[in-house]
Amino acid sequence: MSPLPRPFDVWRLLAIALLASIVVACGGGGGGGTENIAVKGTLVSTPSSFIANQVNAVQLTVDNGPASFTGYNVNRLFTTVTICKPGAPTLCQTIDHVLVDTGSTGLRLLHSALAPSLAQNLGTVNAPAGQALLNCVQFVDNSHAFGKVTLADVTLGPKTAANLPIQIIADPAYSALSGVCASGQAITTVNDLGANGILGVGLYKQDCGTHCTSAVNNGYYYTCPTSGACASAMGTTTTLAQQMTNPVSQFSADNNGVIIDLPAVPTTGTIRTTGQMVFGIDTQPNNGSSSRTPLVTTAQGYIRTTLPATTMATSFIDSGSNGLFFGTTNLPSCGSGASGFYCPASSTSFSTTLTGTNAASAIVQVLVDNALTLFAPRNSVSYAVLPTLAGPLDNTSFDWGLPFFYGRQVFIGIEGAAPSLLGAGPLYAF
Amino acid sequence: MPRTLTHLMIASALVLASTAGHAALGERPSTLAGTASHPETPAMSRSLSAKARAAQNLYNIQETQLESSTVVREYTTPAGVVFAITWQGPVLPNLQTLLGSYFPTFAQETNRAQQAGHQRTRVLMQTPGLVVQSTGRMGRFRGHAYAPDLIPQGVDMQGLLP
Repeated sequence: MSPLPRPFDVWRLLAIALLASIVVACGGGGGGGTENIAVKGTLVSTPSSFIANQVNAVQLTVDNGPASFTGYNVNRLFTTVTICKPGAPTLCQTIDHVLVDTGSTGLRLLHSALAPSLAQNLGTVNAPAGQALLNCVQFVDNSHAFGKVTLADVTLGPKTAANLPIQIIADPAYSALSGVCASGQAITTVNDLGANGILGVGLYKQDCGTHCTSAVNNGYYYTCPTSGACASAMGTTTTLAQQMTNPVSQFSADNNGVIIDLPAVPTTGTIRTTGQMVFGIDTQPNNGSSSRTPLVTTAQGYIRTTLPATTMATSFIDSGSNGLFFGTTNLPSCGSGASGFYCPASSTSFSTTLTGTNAASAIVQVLVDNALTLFAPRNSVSYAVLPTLAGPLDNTSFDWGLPFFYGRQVFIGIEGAAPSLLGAGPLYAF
Repeated sequence: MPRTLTHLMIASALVLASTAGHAALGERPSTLAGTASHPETPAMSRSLSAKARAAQNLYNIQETQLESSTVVREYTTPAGVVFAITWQGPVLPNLQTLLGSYFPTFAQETNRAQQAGHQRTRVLMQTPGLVVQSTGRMGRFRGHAYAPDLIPQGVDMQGLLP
């Protein structure tokens, strides 16, 4: 990643309504030939800011997060979500600063972010045994979010997913039971999460999939043993339809993936920036994949990253990670004040190659600056957008977090959805 | 990696029959038993010492596949004390159980890390008494923990960890 300093208020117009065509070689032995596939349109090669009044896009923001958040958010991508009690257009709420996470699946909202009038009207979903279905999601630091599954009509910009199972994090009726989810800290407040919720728009349709349709003690889904007040929780199977579901996959159209489209930002960072998430791939004039190279992932969602000296087989692209995380002995770790990040004495750049299971590859330049310097307030303002932030990991994974997304249009193709011209998901392209 | 019900039941029975005690770093190997309604319920457990990378019986490995399909490996000294743990799978194992008396040190580190501007991200903890790494993302967890003081002489941790 090598974002050049550029004013981010330069709007890049989409090449709307361009009818492009891609020539696909077809035929191997028998005389060859070509076939023209009509593409409805294409994105311009330079990433853009949000353009209003599109039929399939929502604005994205990177900033310090919800007004009530007292911490310091770095490289966290947010959008605004509207939820309604299904079929009840008067019982709705618009919730800002929901984290956009391409590394997870489904919408999760803090109970504390909901108006009481809405929260008390959201029902439960019954597990097969007949009691309320509860969902657990864990984070790598052993913290966790736990709460009931409910159905809501979920609207992202102009698109709505009706009757979508979502999680209400830390619903007081069940939060005392969150210890079944993980042994660490339970996430219950905006300050715990740094956001009002999490919008998982990753590679998959469900958070668990078929495993949870047969395994009782699956670690994702729980239920109450008896009706009434829920005094304990036990594992349960779920149907696919009850699981946390990627809302994009439930749109009536433009449902085979997303494009995260963020402008380039100065390498030294900035206070905030905006971009857009476009729904669908190769379904509208504004979401053509054009001639991009698909990187098909493994079933587990991994691609390979090759550094000059290392091959990292379990790499992934994750807007929910706030830095580029990878192992190298060439960059010193920071001390206190920025522990968990790299602090090179001067800007350090190198080249990497990302490779999919389809053997296609793409070269990505990485630029790393000193995290302590990046975190230091400038004119008393802490910058939320830091495109050169990186930190250590082991040498088997490269976690391409939000810095990777600046200055790119990143395509996420959903597994099991209608193939785009990039092919069938799970895949990435950029 | 779903398994058939029959497979699960047989494997669970084997585990219950063959192990005892409760688990943790610095203690005897885990049954990972928990309660029957817990994702810690083992689906399959086996000793890997036979195909040991365990050179000259320096250590043994017990591998347990939980019903969540997460795989936990416990590395034990010849005296039977767990000195290292690895995990990989869709669900975190119960780290309080696996880390035992080391868990408060780990919890202190994760709580402190939350205050430093990087939230809910990987753990790379390196203290003289405890090393823990926890990485991945939702549904794809990998990690290891070991107590440097307990590593048998002659064992190279770098070569041992996956």
